[in-house]
Amino acid sequence: MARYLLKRLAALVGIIWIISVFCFLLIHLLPGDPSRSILGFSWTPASGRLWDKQHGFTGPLVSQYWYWLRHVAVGNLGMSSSGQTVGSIIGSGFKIDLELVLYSQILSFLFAIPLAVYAARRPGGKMDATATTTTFAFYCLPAFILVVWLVQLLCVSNHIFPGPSTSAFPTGGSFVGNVLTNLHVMFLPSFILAIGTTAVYYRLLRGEMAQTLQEEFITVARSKGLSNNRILWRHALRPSSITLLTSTGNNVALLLTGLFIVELKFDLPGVGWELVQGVPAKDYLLVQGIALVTAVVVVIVNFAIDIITTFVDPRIARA
Amino acid sequence: MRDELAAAYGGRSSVDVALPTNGVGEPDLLSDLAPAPEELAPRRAKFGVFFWICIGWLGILAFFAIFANLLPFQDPNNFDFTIGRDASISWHHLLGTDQDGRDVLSRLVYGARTSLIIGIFGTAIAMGVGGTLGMLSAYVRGRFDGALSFFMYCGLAFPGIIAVIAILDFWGRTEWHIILVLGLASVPLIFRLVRAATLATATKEYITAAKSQGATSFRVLFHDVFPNVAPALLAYTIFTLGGIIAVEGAIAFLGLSVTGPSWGNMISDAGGDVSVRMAFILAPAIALFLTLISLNYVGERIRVRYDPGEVKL
Repeated sequence: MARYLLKRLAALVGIIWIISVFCFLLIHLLPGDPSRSILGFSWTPASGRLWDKQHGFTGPLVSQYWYWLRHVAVGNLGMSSSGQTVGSIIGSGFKIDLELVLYSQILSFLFAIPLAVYAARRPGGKMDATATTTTFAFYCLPAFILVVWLVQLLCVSNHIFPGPSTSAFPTGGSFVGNVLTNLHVMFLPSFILAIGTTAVYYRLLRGEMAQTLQEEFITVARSKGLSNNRILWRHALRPSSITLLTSTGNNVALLLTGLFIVELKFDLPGVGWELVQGVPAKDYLLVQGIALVTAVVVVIVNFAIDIITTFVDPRIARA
Repeated sequence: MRDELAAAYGGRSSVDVALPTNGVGEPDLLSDLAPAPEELAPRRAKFGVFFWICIGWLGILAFFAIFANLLPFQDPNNFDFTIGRDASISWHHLLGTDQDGRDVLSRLVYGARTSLIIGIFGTAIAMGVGGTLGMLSAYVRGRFDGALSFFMYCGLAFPGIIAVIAILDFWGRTEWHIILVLGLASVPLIFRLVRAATLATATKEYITAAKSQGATSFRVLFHDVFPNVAPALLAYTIFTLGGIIAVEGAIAFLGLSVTGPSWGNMISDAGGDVSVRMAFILAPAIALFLTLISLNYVGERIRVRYDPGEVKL
């Protein structure tokens, strides 16, 4: 077990290093001059050279990378062209992303797990057919179509949830409010994100459950006279949930597209919102910082989920 | 005969053999071991009616996308001064006009062209790079495979959408740039899927047999491995096509795709004013939904038909 964890940790460090190279090259492959966009009107060839020198944009690429990495390692991602540090922008935006991801994933599990458990009870039955068809249809509805229709239906026609560009969504500011208001306001954006992943989780868990229910220990449980519900929830769900856990990690990366759309349409100043604002403003360091932080977070989440799965099912470490 | 076969394979009685499936709708391993002689070839799942409806929709879409400029559609960028903006449905404008007085039907058809061009060429890049590398990696194995898999794992962790948004904005949002960026962004996922599918085939006995007979690597790869991976490749190609079309729609919705007619642009242009521009938003939304459902369903049926071991959707 310890050896397996150490091996995984070494791989994690390697992956983060390669990602840092990707992010570094992202700026150097993009056309344009960072100093020009950050200095704005005060840019002159001389001040540009000075800026380059101060920010380590001179010399061979390898030494530039080394300079950048040394600063990033201590948390200095540079200055955004808005005058704030990239770190503080990401820090304030990240809270919103975190809430959206957690909220949507909790909703997603609340929908997907009961559906999958009861659908797997009689594969091919009415419940299974209905759930499978419905989740498949929702899977094919991209978030940006859902945003338009659900906002119209639930915010504009019926005022069930506060809509975009109302006082509930303060553009650019931090997100405040007490817990209940917060959960109410954030429900619709999270729900839209949850719909896409629900289909994926349902599909995985249903398949795994259907297979687990064929196992001999289920037959034993049946012959002991245990109730159907007890077998489904206590005996079959846990061994079936490993794949689900693994896929949650992969889904965090895939959630980002939906996250950006939801943040932009609801004016939630998360990291995605900052990115879509920063890109047209040619805010190189902000884009680089967001790419780096997001990628590292995705990798670390996957790593954490790997470790959790190893504890849930220790056989994985031995394989 | 059935009983003898059954006895030979696992000593199970005809009572067990009489159960054709395991209740999941998939062939039971035990009854598979004792097939009736005439059933020795595995029975394949039927495609079903809905599959052909989906193919039909994709065919119609492809037809209009290819022949858009030969058919009597209006110029999708032309402002109709006689009718004006936000016109309702009429003979002249079968789906009305949008907020800039342009014909919605014609924008829909030209939008299909944009979606399909970006989808098909993007998928070609993704499959060409990711599929080829994935097959090679799984066949060659060893250090090459290890290094490439590690690199692709990093690519998978790297948030593709950020690279897409950043690169497209700094690089210019022409159709070819979008194709290249979306295609390359899908490479790591395709690589992983194709590698896994090839690995499952490349470790089978008949590959070892072919190798031990002295077949060249080229022959084994193209004569023995490829035909067995081809159905899975086809399914992944179709899924990727759907995925790239959906992402193109999303970045168009964020205002980062081509400036011409595109389904995502149409939805975002309406500015969320659903009540006024009902048909205008509904049309591209339905078209995109039908296209994605068709592609995902067709891909899924193909995958299930040639790979019945996996779970059905």
